[in-house]
Amino acid sequence: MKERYDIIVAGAGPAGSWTAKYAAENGASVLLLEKDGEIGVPVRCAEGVAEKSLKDLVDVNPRWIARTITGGRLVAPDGTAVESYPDERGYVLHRKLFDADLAAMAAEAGAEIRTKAYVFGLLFENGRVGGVQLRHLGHTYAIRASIVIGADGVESRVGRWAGLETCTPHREMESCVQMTLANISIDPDVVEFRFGHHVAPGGYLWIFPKGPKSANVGLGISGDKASRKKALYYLREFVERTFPHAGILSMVAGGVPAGQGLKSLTADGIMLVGDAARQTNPLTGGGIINAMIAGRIAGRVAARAVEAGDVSAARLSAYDKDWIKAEGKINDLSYKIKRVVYRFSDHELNEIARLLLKIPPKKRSAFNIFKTALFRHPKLVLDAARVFVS
Amino acid sequence: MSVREVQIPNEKCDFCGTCVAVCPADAIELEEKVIRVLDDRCTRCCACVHVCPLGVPREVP
Repeated sequence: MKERYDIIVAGAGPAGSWTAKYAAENGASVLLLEKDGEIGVPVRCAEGVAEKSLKDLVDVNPRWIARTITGGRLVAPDGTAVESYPDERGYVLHRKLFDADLAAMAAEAGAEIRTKAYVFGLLFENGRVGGVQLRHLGHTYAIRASIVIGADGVESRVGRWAGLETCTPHREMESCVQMTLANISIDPDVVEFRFGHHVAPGGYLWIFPKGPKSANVGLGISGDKASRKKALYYLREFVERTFPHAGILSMVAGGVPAGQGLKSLTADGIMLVGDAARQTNPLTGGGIINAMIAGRIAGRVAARAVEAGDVSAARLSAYDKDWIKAEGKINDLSYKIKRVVYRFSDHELNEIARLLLKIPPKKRSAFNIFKTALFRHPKLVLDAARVFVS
Repeated sequence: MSVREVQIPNEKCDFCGTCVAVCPADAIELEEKVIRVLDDRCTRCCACVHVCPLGVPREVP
């Protein structure tokens, strides 16, 4: 490690690695730091992505793909199942392999990487961010940089230290737990989503196949409905009832931000990407693709800012603007839809499922599903139409 | 009930950081497999207690 880099990225998930790759490719010296011992571990993720979105970002290596998904199933509280066959396929990834390869690509672009490297504070020079304080294998280091980029996940503190407001109110946090289950009977080409106040209040339960007889089975519940009965207990009940012979290969807890986007992702010498920037889609909870899209923008903006010798908030805000155009607008709409959808009663959800069954299966696109679910909210349907058409 | 202290027992914790994200006082620190509440910053709002997927943080009256 050197004493100074152009750019330091804290956190080596998809957001951090992709930021580091694009910053290094655009000429910056980059240090990428991961607090855990191994990149890609632990996997706090359902691991689902849309095929086309991923292919737009990276050459897909087949070894990342656990299952290719060709359909979806929505299950209402009363058990009514609605099958949908989207135009687009999906993947359930092996995040452990995927994350490691993204970091390797950052290294190939020229980034230096360290694991077991925890950023515990920022350095300030003349009142602006000028580097990080780092703990690595029992030693502390002060490493200077023109720009520090927080890709430090849902638990991010980098932004707060720089004065950016990133705290997610607990009512806008999805409280999640997931088990990877073996020896279960599933449809291995289909992702399943279950809704209802007894299954996952203020969220949903997912079954994402990882093999012919194994899947990531997890759920998220709204943080303001999580005080008494915890996500873990909802999931245990479901697994015992539905998959009594399952082998539990792993269990992870996690939080998915599902609130409004941050007011600002940048300040003088500082940028945030991925879960640290609360860029997950508030309706679906999906975060991988958004993290990589943000990383690509942020890495380029950061490298060019360094080259121009101007790392001011005004210069870095080009990233804020491009993010809003790329995905931020869709997240804003998704947040509005989420606020409606997660307030539906079980009775309303059952009614919607019955209405959806009247649409021919081939026409059950995401938009038609939203349109049916939101038929009492015509303004939201209009907003959605604008986003889907644009 | 007034809360004197919030504790996060490390032996029960999965170190997912959800509590860190909702803490309005930046009073929780997570470093790999160690989590601690910074007692001088904690306002006892108990957002961490509400949101934890496993029910680990506890209010000490």
